[in-house]
Amino acid sequence: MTADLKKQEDIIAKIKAGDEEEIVSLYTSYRNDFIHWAGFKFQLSREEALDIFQDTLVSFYDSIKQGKLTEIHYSIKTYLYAIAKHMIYNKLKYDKKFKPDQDDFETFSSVESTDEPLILTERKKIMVALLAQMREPCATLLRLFYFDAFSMEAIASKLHYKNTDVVKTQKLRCIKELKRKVESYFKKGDI
Amino acid sequence: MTDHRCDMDQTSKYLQGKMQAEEKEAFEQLLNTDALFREEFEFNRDLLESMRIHYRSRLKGRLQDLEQAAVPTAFRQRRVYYWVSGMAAAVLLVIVTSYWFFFLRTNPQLVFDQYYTPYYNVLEGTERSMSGNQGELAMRLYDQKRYEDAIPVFEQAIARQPNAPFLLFYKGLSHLSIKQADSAIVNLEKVRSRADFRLIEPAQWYLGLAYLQKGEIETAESVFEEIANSQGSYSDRASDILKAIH
Repeated sequence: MTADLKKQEDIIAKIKAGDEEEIVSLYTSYRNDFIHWAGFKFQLSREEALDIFQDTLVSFYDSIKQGKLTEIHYSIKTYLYAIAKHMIYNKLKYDKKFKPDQDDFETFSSVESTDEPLILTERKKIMVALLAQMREPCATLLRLFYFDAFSMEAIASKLHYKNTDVVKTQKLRCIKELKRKVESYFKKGDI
Repeated sequence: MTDHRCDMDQTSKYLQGKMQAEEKEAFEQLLNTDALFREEFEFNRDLLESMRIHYRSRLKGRLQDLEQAAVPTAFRQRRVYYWVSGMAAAVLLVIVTSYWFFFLRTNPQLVFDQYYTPYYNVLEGTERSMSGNQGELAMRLYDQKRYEDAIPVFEQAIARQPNAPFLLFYKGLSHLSIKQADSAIVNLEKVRSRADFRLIEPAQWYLGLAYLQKGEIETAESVFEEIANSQGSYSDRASDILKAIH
């Protein structure tokens, strides 16, 4: 295993373990190059390029956390650019500004997108709003379990719970409370 | 109808394809035959997707905040670079700096122009969804830099959601962008009293800039001093601007 590949695997392992700082570090390392590249190749403004690159990092993080991306066979930078190309292509297609040539099509198809679209229905809008109002420890506990995919043991250690039984009980309480709020919102007929 | 209940963990396991064949078959059997079970499954699925939307939005907001924080760093790096570029350049720099020091002191608008950059739309999914249709439209106009068009739409959104500080914040920024300092101050002062608002730091920074744009140097100084002493992400920027207007 080369040193670079080992370093990349370390980065992916840290992200898998919930280390957002690695995402921040990747973002700051490659953002300037990306702005220039996206501007030169696709005539994106700085703001458009930054928006796409931020979405790229979020998608990369999410794919690792969901277990859809466990290893990559080329550099992380190349992988990020490939995800970004998909996003730029979709954006420009939507804006009707761009017709990709054959080379671009081949590049797009060389990396499989792991990011399925999330559709925001009215019910989900309300759920998202109520999630943001969640207080601790539920806000962190639910994020660690359902988004960061931490084990019960890891959550107990991170949040200093006595054991996994306490985590399970607390998680059930949090879910129950969240569901109660959502159901109560809908019963009021507020939407 | 049966007593079967569909819980969050089962739903998550099914959606992630982590069920064994037998378990999956039994689960799908219930989905197809038990209306209550299916209803609970759909509720759980929406809740899990909402969590993903919420947490992704939070992470993106963190990256967007880095862009705001990057401005003063770049400014300081450029200043250091010029300082070390040679004695002749240094002398010239002193002359130029002295000139600007004098000139800027009497021209707060120039200090404003030097430090002002439009703030990005960093609203999280929650805030977007809470702002209603008018709020969403206002933010779209803000993103397109159509500040004059955005202001009346923000007003309509605020009338429906008077306690949403992010609407007041972006309305204040819209006024500031088109040099309506008085209106910007009114809106940003309202936000300033909301200590629980997550964008309170940028709100204070832009309030200071609004006072500067209006020419109320002493009030602007007092706002920037408060920011500089707060040890927050805008402290360095506030210290820099205080040097420029002192």
